[in-house]
Amino acid sequence: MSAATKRPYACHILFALLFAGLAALLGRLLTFQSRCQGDMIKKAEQQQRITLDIPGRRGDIYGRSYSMSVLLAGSRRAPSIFADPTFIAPDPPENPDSPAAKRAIHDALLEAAKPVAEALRVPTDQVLGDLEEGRRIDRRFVWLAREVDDATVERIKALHLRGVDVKSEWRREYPNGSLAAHIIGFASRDEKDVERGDEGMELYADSYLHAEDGHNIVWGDAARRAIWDAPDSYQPPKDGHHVQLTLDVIIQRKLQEELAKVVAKSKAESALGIVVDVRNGEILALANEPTYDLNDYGKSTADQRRNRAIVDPYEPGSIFKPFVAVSAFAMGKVRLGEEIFCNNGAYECRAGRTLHDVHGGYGTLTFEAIVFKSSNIGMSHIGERLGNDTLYGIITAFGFGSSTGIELRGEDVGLVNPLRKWTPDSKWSIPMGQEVGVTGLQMAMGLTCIANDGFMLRPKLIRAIYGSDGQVQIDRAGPIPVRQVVDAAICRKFRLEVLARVPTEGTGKSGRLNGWSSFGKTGTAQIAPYGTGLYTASYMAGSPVDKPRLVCLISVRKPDPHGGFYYGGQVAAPVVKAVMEQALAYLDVPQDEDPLPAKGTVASKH
Amino acid sequence: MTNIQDRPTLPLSQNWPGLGVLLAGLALLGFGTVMVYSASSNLANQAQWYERQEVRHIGYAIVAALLMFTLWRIDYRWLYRSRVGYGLVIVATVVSIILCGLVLTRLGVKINGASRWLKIGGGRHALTFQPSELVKVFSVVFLACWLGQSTRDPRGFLRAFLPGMAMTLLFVGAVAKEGFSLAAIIGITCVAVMFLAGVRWYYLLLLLPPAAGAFWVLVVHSPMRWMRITAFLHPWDASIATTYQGRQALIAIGSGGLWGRGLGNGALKLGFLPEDSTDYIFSVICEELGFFGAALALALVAIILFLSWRTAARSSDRTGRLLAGGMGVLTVVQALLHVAVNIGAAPPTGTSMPMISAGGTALLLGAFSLAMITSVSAHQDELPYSAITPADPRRPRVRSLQEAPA
Repeated sequence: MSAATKRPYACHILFALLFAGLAALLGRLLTFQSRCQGDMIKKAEQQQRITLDIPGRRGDIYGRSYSMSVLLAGSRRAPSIFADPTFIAPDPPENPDSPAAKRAIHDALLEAAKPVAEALRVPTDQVLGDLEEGRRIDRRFVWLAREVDDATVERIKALHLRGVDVKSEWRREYPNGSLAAHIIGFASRDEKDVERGDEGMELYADSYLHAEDGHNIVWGDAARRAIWDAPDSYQPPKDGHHVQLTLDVIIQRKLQEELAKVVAKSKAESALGIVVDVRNGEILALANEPTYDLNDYGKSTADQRRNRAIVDPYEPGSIFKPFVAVSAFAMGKVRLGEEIFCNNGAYECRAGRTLHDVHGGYGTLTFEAIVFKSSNIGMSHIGERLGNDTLYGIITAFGFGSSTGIELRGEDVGLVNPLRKWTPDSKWSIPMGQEVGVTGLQMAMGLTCIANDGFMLRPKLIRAIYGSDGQVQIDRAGPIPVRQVVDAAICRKFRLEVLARVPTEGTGKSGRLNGWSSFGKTGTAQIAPYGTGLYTASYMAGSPVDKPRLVCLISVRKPDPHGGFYYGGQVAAPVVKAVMEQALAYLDVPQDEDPLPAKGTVASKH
Repeated sequence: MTNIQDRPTLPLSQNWPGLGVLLAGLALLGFGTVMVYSASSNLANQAQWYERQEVRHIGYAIVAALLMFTLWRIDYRWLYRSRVGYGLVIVATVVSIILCGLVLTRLGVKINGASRWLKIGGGRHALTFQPSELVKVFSVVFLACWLGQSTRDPRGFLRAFLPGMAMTLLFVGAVAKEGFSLAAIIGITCVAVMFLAGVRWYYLLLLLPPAAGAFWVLVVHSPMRWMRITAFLHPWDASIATTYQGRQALIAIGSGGLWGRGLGNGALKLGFLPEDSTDYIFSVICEELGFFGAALALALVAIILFLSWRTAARSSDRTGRLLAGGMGVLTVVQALLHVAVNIGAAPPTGTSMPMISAGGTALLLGAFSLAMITSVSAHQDELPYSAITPADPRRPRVRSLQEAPA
């Protein structure tokens, strides 16, 4: 037996070392586990936490028929395709920055992209690009195609690819296509993938329509599969409010049809039309031509999307005359039946400027005839009596040059120069609707004011706002008053005695309604620069005369002047007639006039 | 020299250090079975139950337990005193080295970028076998038997140190290609065995230059291993890809705290922590059972360490000391390296926890190692007094020197 086996010092030294190592590791373990527990749990939760978005539903937009709601814009569940690029091409075990590893990742993504692209009917490069971008920035969720149809979903599911799946979202749909396109507008997803309104009511009422996504936090595994619910983490989505518009789909559709027809017939550049309920200022219909399909707004042009009725000011021409005339009448500057000399059709108001009447030369006309025959010279004489200051007061009182307050973005206030920029010529130009820019809506609301016995109303487009549960949140029944512009009795007299004669004796005979009395005014405004033969043909009318219910304005811009079919009375008045007759009958407004004799037959005397 | 058949075996009932080693091993096996089951619980994606890792582990653990309680009866003295036994040791050692070489051929199976396995059978029923575990165990057995020869003076430089070192180099070289950690464990254990045998300590200083050279060649010149060193130095730098495992292990260990999240409640095993049932099982233990659960596992290791030390120190012959001490060192060094890697005190390198981690070969040979410690404590030329004289009639009768010849 050697000395080494008798006194095992080596044994003691070696095992003491190992015990020391064990103790050291135990000490390190104790300090780390007792000190860093909070931090490490936080890190563990960070990599385990998966936030599942629960998409909120954007509010609906409703039109109406009578008092019943008609869906104009709504959202419904639609499938979308997404992918997890890191799951498709995980990090290889070797160094992920090496060229070999990069090639492996690229190959895996390409292998997945090929069948997916085929199923989605898009180029492979597009899918591969999305996947590689997502892989590069380590995003675990990449949209490949949004809001696809059921056949595509079937094709994707048939691939049985891991890392590519289907998720439902809300898809915005417009069941009536181009109906009221300029009022409704459209919504799209912004760069943060939040659905936001872009135009029209979708934009204006976005704060009501907008939905907040809800979410649920779950704990998942490394492959991002949910395993546990996190307690108290469920936050339900906040669906948007619903907006009930004043638009009546029956009248709106008729208006759009007629506008399309007249633009085609007159080869015009564009046309706009507005129908207003006189009793409360509600916009029953507002349309522009050209228009576009809301379900396909991506293909529309900016020109098609322009809501001309509120954003495009134009020189109104003769259609503007009633506002000056009724004010002059109310101020006592002119009386009914007062005869005014109209210079036989050519009035040299100052050296170098001669005014002409369009419809031939008149000698002496009564005040009424000046309006219903639309004499420029007659109106300029009335303007001389008023002077610039008064004219300025008149047109601003009717709301020209200021916003009507319509519930849409981008309304133009028109063009009314400040008084200091007016020239001595203004007193002749303004009364015949020149030197001033107005929007179609301002004109319609002006006539509504006259129809409403001189009381100005604010145009109303939003009738009510409902909560996502359908309960009324905001009810906006009744008119929104602005101001009394003209004395009620005088306004009524002017309507009955002057404007009512436009469709019967004056320039608007082709706009005379069959069965209802009406009042109105035509306008054929030259488009500057004057003399190019381009016009805006307009007609606005209200009915019935005694207790008006509806006001309608039609303006057709740049009808083809060749062929002589460009006067307001020719082009716009029949459109007003068609729309008004349909609307009045639809609304059961009692007829107050005998039917007109049918064309080509002799009216019965019995 | 007495006849081999006549030598007494001290029964476990009177051999508390030997019994303690076996019971500690059994406890580690049970502990490991539960933890492997917990760590594998999210991997239930195998088609057949018998393909599942935790089910296989239960089978291996049962076989390992049976092996432990059977193999301790082998008289370790037979291995170096009889021609047959010594021959067997040499053959087994040579075969294990050859098998290690076969791993590098087409017969080897690559798992996670490291080739350490040989495949037995084919298809889904194939078993894999890790020859390096054989080398680990037989390097100790061989060195113990060789240095324990009574004719050899282990203090000699030319007769003991140089050939011993050459054989150590052979063992290390056989596994070097399979993993740096394996080579390190075998190298450390072999040197420890030589130290126990009585090699002069200043001879061991001669090992430093070749060790530095090996480090230079194996680590600094291997980009993958050097990246692991970098990862070890900057464990929280997410831009270094190799830090991922270490970070996940630290998150697992830290979030366990003192008392753990509860058995089965671990979150990092859900695919975040790679190799959670083998190289990082200690992290799972720490996360689910906390510091005290981990301390319990380490206490079992400490028990084995203590008992192997006691057995080695009291062994009446050199081979017994080298065998018990070597097996103790082998088991504990593996455990220490495993824990050190898990808590970020060593560069990330794949080291399994003895008797706990999943892996059939390692379990069976771990059981063999522990059985050898018990064998040494049960077969001593100078038996304790109680075994020789059954003075107390209540004690069970044992085969003793007096009774044997009759």
